[in-house]
Amino acid sequence: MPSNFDALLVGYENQENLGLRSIVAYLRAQGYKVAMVPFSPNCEQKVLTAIQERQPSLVGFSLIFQYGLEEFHQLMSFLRTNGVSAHFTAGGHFPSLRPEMTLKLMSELDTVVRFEGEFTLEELLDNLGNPSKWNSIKGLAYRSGGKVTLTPLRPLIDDLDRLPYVYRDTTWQSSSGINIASMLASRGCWFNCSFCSIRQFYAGSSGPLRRSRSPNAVVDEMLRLYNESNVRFFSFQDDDFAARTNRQREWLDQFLDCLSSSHLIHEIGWKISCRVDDLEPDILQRMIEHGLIAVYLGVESGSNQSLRTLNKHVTVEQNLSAIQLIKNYNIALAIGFMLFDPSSTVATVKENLRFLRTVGQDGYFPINFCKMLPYAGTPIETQLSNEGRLTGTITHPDYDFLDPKINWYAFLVQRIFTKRNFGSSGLVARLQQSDFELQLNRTLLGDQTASDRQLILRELTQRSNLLALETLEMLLDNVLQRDIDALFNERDTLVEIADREWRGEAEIEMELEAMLSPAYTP
Amino acid sequence: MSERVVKFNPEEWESIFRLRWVWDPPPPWLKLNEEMLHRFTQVELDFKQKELEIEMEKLQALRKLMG
Repeated sequence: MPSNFDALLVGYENQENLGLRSIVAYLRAQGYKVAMVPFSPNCEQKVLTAIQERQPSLVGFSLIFQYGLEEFHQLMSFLRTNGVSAHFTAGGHFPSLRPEMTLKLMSELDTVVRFEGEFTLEELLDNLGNPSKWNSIKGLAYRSGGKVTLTPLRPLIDDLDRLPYVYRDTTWQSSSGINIASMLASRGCWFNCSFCSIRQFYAGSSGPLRRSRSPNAVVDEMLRLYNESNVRFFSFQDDDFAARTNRQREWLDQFLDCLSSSHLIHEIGWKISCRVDDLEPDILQRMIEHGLIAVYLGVESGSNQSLRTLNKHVTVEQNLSAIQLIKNYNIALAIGFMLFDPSSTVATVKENLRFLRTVGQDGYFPINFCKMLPYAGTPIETQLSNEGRLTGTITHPDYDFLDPKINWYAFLVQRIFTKRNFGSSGLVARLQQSDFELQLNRTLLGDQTASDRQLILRELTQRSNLLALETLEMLLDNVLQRDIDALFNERDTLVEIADREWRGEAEIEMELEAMLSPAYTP
Repeated sequence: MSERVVKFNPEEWESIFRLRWVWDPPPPWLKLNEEMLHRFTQVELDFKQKELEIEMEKLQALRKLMG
């Protein structure tokens, strides 16, 4: 017998979809029957079965990533074809910033919930059968009389502590037997990096660009997860775990005090993502004393010209200092780095390679690198569009470089390094994961061999970094010094460069597997 | 604030989404002419052969490692 749910929400669940889970928790607290199903490629039948079992009045799709539009559209078409007549709505960055486009492209959708979804979705559920009232629901987009109507935006939620703790499953991600939970202490970011749509996601509505939960509430949620589910590692997904202003530092002081009072600090580890100018020695040291064991730094570039294009408001020197600071404390580090951006020239690429050599030659962390892509709603997308340089598609927006040689170079770099840098089993992911696991083993499990293994891991990471840098430099020399037609005609040079890189990666992967195997003896 | 809906055209949808980031053919932003496309395709074939060889060698090494 089908049980009639009010809503079923579908979304990506890598590292837990905290936005969607917040909505689930809020709606449940208001008395609605709500379920969620993780989205993955080819999940159509699984979602259909979940809908048939629960008979929801509304199905909500969390469209966080622009590149997932097509897959979500296929899912919606499949569901409609198979007789699902529930109300379809979508939320997330792309639908919020491009509601007309979303409704045009996805005829299966009835509405779009724009920006923060908790209250809008609640009002939509209350008025699902009464479209004449939709114009009074703030933050909604819907079709009406051959038009798309956008209602006024809803003010941002003024007090995040009003929201219940996010909905959690009973199963957990784990590493080395340690349960891991994603956490959110704040929403939004004060900065306006040209490649990022976080500011645009929050700036349209009235309210502060960045809001924090109270330190008490964050630690209480951590304590509850520790006590009830034995979660011992907390991965903060805040857009920027900020500690620049006096107010932010007060918040951090209170957060650390609460952690101390909770007696969690020797039992747990945590990770943050932040800007390089958030870190200062005294702040970092205190966070480490309270369990911080990993940092993701938004470095982005080793060229001051590129940092200006990206509107980062930091310098190369600040980037170098922040990385060195982390190294001094021996905690896990990963960085975001864009080897290419719309202002890239041969000179900026060379600056970036020098930067990567400076920070990566000791093997402290695996270097990776990508091309900045102009996602919907970002300032750089507008700029490229105005300059007539925007290419690609809605799902995969792109641009040309001003120097054709850089076009070819970026193309070849992407071809040779995509698996290494971005594959889930690529070398960078394996090295990062191993470093993270060894950090957990060392700090939380007291594993005496972890330090020895970390030294070997650093050697492997160093080899991987130096290999990649040599490949990048060889490739650049060839693209700059030779005619592209000749390079393609001859073929052997490119194949040799790729073969050398991929064989080197394979050797390092094998040594890594051997080092991580239970039979390993230092 | 409102906007007229342009009737959804399946062919338009197809043209929007078929240009995905794939390597065969190469991505659209390269704007390859036919001759260059052909030349890259040859390199890509060599690349794929190399990738396959290395994967096979890795598998053998893994088997050896696992005993």
